[in-house]
Amino acid sequence: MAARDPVLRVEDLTTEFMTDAGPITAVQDVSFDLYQGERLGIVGESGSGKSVTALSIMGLLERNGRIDRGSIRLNGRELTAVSTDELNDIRGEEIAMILQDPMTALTPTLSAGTQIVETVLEHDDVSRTAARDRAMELLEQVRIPNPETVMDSYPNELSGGQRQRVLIAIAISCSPDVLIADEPTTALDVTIQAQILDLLHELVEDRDMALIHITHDLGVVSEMTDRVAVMYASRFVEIGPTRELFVQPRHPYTAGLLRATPRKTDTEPELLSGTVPDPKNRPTGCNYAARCPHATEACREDDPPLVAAEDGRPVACVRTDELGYLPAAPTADPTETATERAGSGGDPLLEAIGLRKEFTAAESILDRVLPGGDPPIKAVDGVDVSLGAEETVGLVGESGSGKTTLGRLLISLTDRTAGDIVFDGEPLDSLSSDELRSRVQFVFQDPNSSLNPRQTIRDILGHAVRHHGTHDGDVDATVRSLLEEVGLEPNLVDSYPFELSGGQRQRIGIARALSVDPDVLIADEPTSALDVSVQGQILALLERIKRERTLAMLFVSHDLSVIRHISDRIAVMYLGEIVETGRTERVFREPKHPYTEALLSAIPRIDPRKTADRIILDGEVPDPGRPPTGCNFVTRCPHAMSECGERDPALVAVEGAEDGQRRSACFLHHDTEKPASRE
Amino acid sequence: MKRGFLRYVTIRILQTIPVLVGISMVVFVIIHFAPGDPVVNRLGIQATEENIQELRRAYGLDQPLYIQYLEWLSGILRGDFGRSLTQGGRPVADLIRSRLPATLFLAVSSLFVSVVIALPAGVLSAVKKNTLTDYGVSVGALSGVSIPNFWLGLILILLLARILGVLPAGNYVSPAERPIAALEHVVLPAITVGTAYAALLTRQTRSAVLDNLDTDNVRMAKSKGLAPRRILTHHVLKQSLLPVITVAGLQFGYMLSATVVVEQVFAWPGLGRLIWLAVRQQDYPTVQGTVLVIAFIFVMVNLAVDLAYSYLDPRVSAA
Repeated sequence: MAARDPVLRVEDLTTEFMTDAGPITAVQDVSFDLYQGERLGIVGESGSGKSVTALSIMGLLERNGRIDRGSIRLNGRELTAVSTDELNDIRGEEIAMILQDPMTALTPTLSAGTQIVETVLEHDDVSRTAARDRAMELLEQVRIPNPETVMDSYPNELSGGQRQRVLIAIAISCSPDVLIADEPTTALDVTIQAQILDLLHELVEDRDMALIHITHDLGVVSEMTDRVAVMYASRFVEIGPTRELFVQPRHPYTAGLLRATPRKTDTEPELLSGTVPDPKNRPTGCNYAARCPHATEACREDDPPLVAAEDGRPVACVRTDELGYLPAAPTADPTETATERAGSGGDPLLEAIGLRKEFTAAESILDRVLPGGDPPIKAVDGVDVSLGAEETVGLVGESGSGKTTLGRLLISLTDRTAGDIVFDGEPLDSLSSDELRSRVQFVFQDPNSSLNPRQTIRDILGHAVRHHGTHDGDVDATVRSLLEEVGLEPNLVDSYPFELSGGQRQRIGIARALSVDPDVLIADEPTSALDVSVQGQILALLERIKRERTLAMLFVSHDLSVIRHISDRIAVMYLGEIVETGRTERVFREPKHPYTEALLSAIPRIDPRKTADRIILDGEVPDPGRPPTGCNFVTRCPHAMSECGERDPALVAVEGAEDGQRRSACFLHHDTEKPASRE
Repeated sequence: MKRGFLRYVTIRILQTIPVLVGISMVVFVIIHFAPGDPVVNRLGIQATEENIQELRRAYGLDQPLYIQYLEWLSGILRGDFGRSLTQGGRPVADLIRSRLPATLFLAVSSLFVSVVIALPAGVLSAVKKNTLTDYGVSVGALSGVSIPNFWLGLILILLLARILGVLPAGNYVSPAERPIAALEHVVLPAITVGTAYAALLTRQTRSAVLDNLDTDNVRMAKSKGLAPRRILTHHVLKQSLLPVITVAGLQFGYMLSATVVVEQVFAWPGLGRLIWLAVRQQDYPTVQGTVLVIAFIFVMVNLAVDLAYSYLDPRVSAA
């Protein structure tokens, strides 16, 4: 084979789905070449067609989907024309795939070993023992701790990160030429994501595989790919080398996405308004025209083809030569937008002292009486937290850190095991539940499941308004003004939740919380289920509402870059404890806990020119039922000292602290408890 | 793992105790409040008041209801189910012991028939979704549920036993004594009971297989190039069996009660016929004892189903 023949050549790929409302085009005229050893990123928001592109290539479309036209050539062979048997030979051996959710991609009733071994046996004529040996080797290559144990483990006994490693082991088991990774780290925590990306990078490099990396995360694409294609409404709108495209984007959508993504720098993200057009109802002309700040009449006439701009980069925009390169980063002056917020002096509005929550695994009385049960899980293990009037506190942590439980404890959605909560000078328990609900409200993570699907928006909001008696006679008018406040058309009152988009539903969730005119809002990952542009819109909405209504807010999130821009103060949680807290800018500038430091460095950088000096933490979060002795972080800490395994460091004020607000639970940063013999 | 499993089983067994006590109470109360009087039934309308009172005392029926219940319960704990008010006063335990094998044999055979029809039909219909095969299976299943047991039984007897004469029309033969003959005799009643439940089980299998065909783990299995047959047998079927087994377990219980009717049709000397007679004669101890035994079997089968779950699905015992 000639050196410059592509391994995979996709030409004019168009995929359709048959629906009750007629055919929908999910992928339209997608073309690209992929060379050996090359890493191509496909980036886009949900519904853009990036996953369908992958499934089309793999021949894994659902029954109602079909490739309408176009060609897919793998090593010169036309995949759209091969028989099922041939396709089965090709899949796994020449081209393999890693699916998004490691929790569902493995078959729960087969051991991890079986699922690797069967792949090897299917493609190679080897004995069962040889296949098993190969599986063991593969597990070592994907750097799984205790490969012997993992071989015989069922998927439910493995963590998310371990499952993703098993999936990778399966995918590379027969040394494919092309590997397609569809959002391989989206379901994982950021420190685990860093491990997996590092592993993928190394494997692709060592084996000289070609990689198609599909993701919505611009940071991941920036770090993991050589070339990137931006997909919008079923089409590629721009494709080019990552280093160029992410620094000098040409298509307005590429630029908009780049500028709308929160970064951990001081610059505030810009707003990308509007939403992706409904695939059943695409506009004539450019799909992006309605959202594009540069749109002209010409844009609404014809669909712009993907053609080379003056610099040779293919861009689907009629004005690209006229517009030239667009700015990739937000242009606002950082000093103007990211001023240190005033926050509150004086007494906190909501304060918790020594808060503790244990979940018992026991389901029945018998479970508790009989010996040998699991120990209780300390979800929140002695936490002090306070929220001042008009202050926003960001609570950040990975899954299992206890951040969501803490949020729920503060509003008595969950009963606490121990600790005191004081709200506005009074113990929380002395407030009636109605009184509490009318002053503290909750915004849920999943807007789909927190709204009753059988009620109209009028019913949902009307009920809240009536129940808490905040209206002045006219419930309907109050509902309408709430809708306007959260940026929705008042004529949506008769809609059902399923008729709304994810972003609109989350706006309804916020309107419901506002309907009682609360003093405090507790928002639990309110944007984590949403696309970048919608996430930006919701964050801007929350920002505006809390300013206009002078609300205090506790913002719970796993995403440091999101928390960066909305919080005055942040608290970092790890395994049920707060390990560091302080003013947001200070914590970002100079973290005082190794965990915070690792979290910050684990965030993939969007700017490809900045090389990541990444701290990759070993291992995973320990079982909260059996936390380590001493510091909870000791098992993963790169700076762990002997003392850390003996005593649990308290959360105390650290040197150079802003009037005692900066606290850290780490011996490295403790003045008084610092061991004398530190190197 | 092992220890966790033992613990799980212990808990599950202990949990059945309150269930069984509850059932015993309900059975006891219902039969005692049913209209009619077993003593009058037995002595006939010419009996004198004195005779009636005497027999009442002899059976302990003059005691308050809760005393009667407690005595009955304490008897059961000692293995004494009391004596039948009819049937020549034989111990109820003996009656049950002599009838139980016939009913269990019938129920197990019916379950076998039902599973043998339903599993392949359900899988086939799922794999060939929305084809003629699928529709054919659906129509068959619908007819299966719609035809009443006793009617199907009668037709089968008429056709296969009377006209063609290929199979005997019921009549229980102990499988321990003459296994071949026993199988011949059980075929018709088992088909009668089994087909009705096969219909339900087919639908259950179809939807379970369909659910599992459209999952990420099947997409993953396809993406690694596994042959379709292996995907079906190893990745789809085992998972699909879970809901199917639950339904089959429940059905086993229903089959025990279906025998009340079918045993009449096939002159099958099982618990169904025993209950039927006992209810008609208001034979309290026999009805209570038999129903309790059936309930006990039902509870145990469901326990077995749950344990089978933890064998089939590694997620269950860990939870």
